[in-house]
Amino acid sequence: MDERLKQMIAAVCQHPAGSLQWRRAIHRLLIELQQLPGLLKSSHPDYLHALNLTWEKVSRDICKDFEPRSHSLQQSLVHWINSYLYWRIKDLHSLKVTNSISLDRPFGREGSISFIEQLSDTGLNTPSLSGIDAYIEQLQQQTLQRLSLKIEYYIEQDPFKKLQDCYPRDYPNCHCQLLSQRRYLKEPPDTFQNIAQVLNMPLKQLTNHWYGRCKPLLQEISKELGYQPFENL
Amino acid sequence: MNNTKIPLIKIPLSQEAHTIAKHFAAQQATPLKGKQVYLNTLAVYAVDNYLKWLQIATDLSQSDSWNPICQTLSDVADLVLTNIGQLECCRVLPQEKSFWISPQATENRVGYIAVQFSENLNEVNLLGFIIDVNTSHLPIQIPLNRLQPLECFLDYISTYKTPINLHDWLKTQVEYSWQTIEDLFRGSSLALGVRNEPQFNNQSIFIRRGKQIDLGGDRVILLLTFSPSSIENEWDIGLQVYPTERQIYLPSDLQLVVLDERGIPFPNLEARARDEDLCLQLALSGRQGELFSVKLTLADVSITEDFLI
Repeated sequence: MDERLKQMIAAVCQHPAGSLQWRRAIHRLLIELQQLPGLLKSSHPDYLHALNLTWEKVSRDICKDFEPRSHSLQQSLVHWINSYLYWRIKDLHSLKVTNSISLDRPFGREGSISFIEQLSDTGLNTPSLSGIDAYIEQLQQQTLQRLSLKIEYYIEQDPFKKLQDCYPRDYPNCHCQLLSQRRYLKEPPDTFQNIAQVLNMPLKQLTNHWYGRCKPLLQEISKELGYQPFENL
Repeated sequence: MNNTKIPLIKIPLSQEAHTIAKHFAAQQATPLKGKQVYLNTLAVYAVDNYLKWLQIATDLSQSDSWNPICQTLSDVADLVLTNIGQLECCRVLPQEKSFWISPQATENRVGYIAVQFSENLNEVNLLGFIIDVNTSHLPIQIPLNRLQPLECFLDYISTYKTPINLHDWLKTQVEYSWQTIEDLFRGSSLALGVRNEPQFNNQSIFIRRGKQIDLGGDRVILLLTFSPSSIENEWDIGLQVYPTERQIYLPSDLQLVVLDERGIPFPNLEARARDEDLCLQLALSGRQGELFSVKLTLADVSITEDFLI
């Protein structure tokens, strides 16, 4: 196993980061590392986020920062990964904790991080697949307006003619209301090929108008209607 | 068909993933639509994370799946890969042997990745990849056994050679493989020499990035400096080639050439390394919208990078 890991790491490090060969090798290495026995598991709410950050760090730093410490390459890897993972959970948690809970206990042997488990009082507040329908229903009842009905109604009515007045100069029939209706209010939607044929215009000009003018216009309208894009990313 | 399970890459679904999915799902009209958006969001989020691990640049903000209007009016789970195109992240439920592609997702896609959810929605498996779908019968159902391994996806996107948009660099949207001087020359005395060079054109606004280029075993670093010219609407570009920290000199006979958009070398924009040369340099300028390529050749190996001003 150690020999296999050694070869896989060498396969990564012999290529420049970001190159195709590097990516192929890192992909294979990550799969291998994810299976290693002894990796830290936790039901702490920040565990999954920390795990994500850990794999990102592994791919970034395996060729720069990792040095085998013990006679077993596998154990060294697990320890290296677990140390980072542990400290990330701690960081993420301490960003939220306002009262001073002492987290200073020595890092135990692999698996024995029970005090972290104790801190996760509510566990994860996320649905499972079997419970998701009820979860979503409850979620939506909390949202006062049915925003999507508003946008469909807006497209049909076009109260200020914003959509109808937006068309490429030579093709007044190719306006955004028509396109929105055919692409969004039809099931299945009309293809661009089809619409271009009906309007007797070049396909490229049609798609340029759709992506360049109509979609941004719809986005503006949606903001006015109260849609919220996710800002805190 | 053998029974051994090929291990797949797993991506955790953190609290943050669910928070975003929740935010989008709440704005939908029906629970059914909300569930679709919730799962699509998780799928896209997961693939975005995976691509980060592999240093493949993405742009969530440009993706339809992150846009409230597109979420509402269509069933899409696209992720924009910078300079490449939209990748669809198709949701697969635990017991299913196939997945569906919505009509909206059959156009304008570089390919489709199958994302399988775990029952507790804590993680996903990436099952594989498919490039083309037959659009004669919509919606399309794809059986899982038609999927190719993810390595094929990596091979496939590396064939996309759209020019690097230098103006994106000014907005700090730089591809992963183009790094800062500090990152490229970490720990090397060469870094000092490079950083102390006189500032380009006396402008305080410039951006300089470099990339390691592999020329059949020999590796060099290509640096590109991009800044506004003193002439209006023009931009100055500086090119330098250095050895990596393992060598002192550039490989002799290394050739650096600049090509126009037809692939024809510019006269006077060519440099060749002699024995014991430390660096190759070229300077050029151009207007916004112009294309050029930089080609490095050593023996019979050539690497070309394409740029858009």
